[in-house]
Amino acid sequence: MKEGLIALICGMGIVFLVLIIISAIIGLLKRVNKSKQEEVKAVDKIPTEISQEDEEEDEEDDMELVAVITSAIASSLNTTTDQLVVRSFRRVGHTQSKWNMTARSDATRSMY
Amino acid sequence: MDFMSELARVIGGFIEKTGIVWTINNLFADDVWAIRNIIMIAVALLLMYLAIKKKYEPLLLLPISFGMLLVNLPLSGVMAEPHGDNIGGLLYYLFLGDELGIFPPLIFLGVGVMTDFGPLIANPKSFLLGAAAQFGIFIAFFGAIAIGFDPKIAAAIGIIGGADGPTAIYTATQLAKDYLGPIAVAAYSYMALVPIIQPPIMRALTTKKQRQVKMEQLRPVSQVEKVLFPIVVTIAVILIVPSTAPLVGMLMFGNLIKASGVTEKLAETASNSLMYIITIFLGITVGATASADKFLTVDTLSILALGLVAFACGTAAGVLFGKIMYKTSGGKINPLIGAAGVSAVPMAARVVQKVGQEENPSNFLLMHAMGPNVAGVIGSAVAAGIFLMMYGG
Repeated sequence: MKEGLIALICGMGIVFLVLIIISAIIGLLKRVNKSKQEEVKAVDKIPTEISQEDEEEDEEDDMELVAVITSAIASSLNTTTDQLVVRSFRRVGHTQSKWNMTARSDATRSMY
Repeated sequence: MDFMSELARVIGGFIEKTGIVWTINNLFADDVWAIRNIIMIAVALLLMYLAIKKKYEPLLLLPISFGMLLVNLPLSGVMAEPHGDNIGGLLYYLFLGDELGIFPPLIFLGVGVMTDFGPLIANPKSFLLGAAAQFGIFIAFFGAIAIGFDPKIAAAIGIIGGADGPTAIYTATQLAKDYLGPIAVAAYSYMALVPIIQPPIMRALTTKKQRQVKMEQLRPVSQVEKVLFPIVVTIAVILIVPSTAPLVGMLMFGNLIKASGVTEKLAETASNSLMYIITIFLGITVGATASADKFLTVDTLSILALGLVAFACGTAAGVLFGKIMYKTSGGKINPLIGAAGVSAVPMAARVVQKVGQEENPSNFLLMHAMGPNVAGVIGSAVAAGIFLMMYGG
């Protein structure tokens, strides 16, 4: 019992100690790329509005789409997503002609 | 006529040597108890079903269950030691890779390549959560000693709470070889059950408001930091706990060959072909340690129970520490991410993401949870190192 308790205290102590030390060192690493971060700040807070033609989107996947679109814009602008606000977005309409669409729906229509 | 009797004798002799006859003859024989083999075969088939149909960690559970099947089929001798002219079983030789501590660190090499320490570098405080969740290891160790296990064995059982298969296997082979089967099976079963075990504990210990906390976006991490990280961690950890060198060393080496960007081929090999080869060997030989005489014991039940305790306590400690950080950060840290401190990468982080999103559909905790998650891998390797320093040969 005593042995278990000693191991419990020492063990947890050492685990914490080791990880706190690494955490402190890694915290210092941040300074390595400070100069780079300043560049990023140049593109701070860009409210972006993307609205393109046509058609309503169903509400359901909106949150997921917002996340995807935000991160896509963020990576193309070389910044992080908390610097951006996606206000609205619309799905781009079909680029095919009506003839194409009719032909495709005919070809794939169920026989039954 | 003579020919016929000779033929009958040969066929009879062959039949005598089949596993079927052996099983029937020894079904309830003292010391042999062939009925146990039948039970173990049933267990192996059940695990196979879980792996194939339910997709519970199939990459490991399938080889493990097949190894279990092979070793429990009567007279297969796959784990037989060599003696005299008998050269010994196939899996006996492959098992040397586990026994000599070769396979688990090689798995860690691949894991290192595949692990992105970015979220951890961006938020080094995650290390604390990775440390807190190791509490389960020591609680289980304490419990195992309390119910009468030898400290060495208790240490190996405790590591189940690290939710890290290779670490558990590595520790078990060094400290409690005879218990490797039950320990590995417990570790991998509970890792597969993380989505079932963790959420109730996480919900019980946090308030709705805490679960809804949205965390700030992590800062981008530079290439230089990613390269320095494995080097710094290797030096710091091994200087303090030298016995973690095989595990942490390989993990960080794997990460370095990936992060450096100059050894793509090595990274590719370590995380694909090499890792899958080792997984096959490791899985099937670990399964083969679960022979009826070693597995069907009261100890196995205790180990399974202690493993569950370890998991639950680790999760609880992580979440509770998360709550402390929630308070000290002024409500900026979602305490749920503490649960990811038990390694089980990336399953535990996904569970956090899911539980967080249930409360607030626009909350994305995944990357925040990956920090404590990968810190947990380092944390459990350190805990294993501490046990090896205390009880290792």
